[in-house]
Amino acid sequence: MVERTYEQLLFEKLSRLSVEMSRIAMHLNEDWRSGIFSQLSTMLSTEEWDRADKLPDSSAFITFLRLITYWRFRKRPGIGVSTDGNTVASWSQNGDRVTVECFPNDQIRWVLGRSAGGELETAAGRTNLTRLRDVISPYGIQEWVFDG
Amino acid sequence: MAKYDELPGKDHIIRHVPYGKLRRDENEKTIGIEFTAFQLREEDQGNLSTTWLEYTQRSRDEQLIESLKYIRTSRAASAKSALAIAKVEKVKSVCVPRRVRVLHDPETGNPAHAIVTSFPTDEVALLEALASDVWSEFILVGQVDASGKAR
Repeated sequence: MVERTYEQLLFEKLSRLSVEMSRIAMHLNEDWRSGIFSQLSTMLSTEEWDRADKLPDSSAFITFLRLITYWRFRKRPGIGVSTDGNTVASWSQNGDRVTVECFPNDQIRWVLGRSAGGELETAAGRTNLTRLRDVISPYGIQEWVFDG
Repeated sequence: MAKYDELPGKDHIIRHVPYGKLRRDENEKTIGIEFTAFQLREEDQGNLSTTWLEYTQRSRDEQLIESLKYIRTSRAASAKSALAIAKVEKVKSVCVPRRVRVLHDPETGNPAHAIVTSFPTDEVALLEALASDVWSEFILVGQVDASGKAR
């Protein structure tokens, strides 16, 4: 059995995630496709990847793709990966922040931080991706997160 | 300062943050730190690994260059990764009531290594507060490298 180098593992993971993205490419415009791929390819390069972290989980990445196609977001998110390999998407506006950690099977953890009367207010919870808008709407930030 | 002495509250600690845990805007510009930068691994044993900025009594720029040199003895730090900086007393005040402690914990290759003990890794809202309000100052490693080369 031929042992693969870490560089090969990173390349294979990037290829796998790219294939998953190609399946829903028709639902994303060119700006989103190229922006997401650009962040993924930088993140999974040998220079940038932190080898102590788990490689991105493909099922969690599929949840991320379902998230960005189920909802219409106002802006393309910044993309990252958690220590456990879950895809993380984030949006920011004037110091307010929303972050969504994607798990397999459409499960997400949302985390938000916003300024309320000059003080930082934070909140977090877990839900299905189809509930995201409902659960963050009490915080009055959905108008800059979602389109329409 | 001896091993496990508490760092002064007015001093600062640095957390190295890889590209995948930095916050970017829609134009891919780095604008901050994600809460994931503070998720611990099992081998961390509940302690957040950091580097004490004021270990050397030099200018701030020189302290950053020196800290990066120490960090690189144990991990790669690419130009697109970042050093996030926090004031010790602010880390402790935001983590109340966990009563975290910030201790000098010198290691081979990094005499400025420090740990934040009893770190609240499962409290995601608290990690978000640390990312957005406590470790809110950051500098890209590429900028520190450029500043070092310019000397």
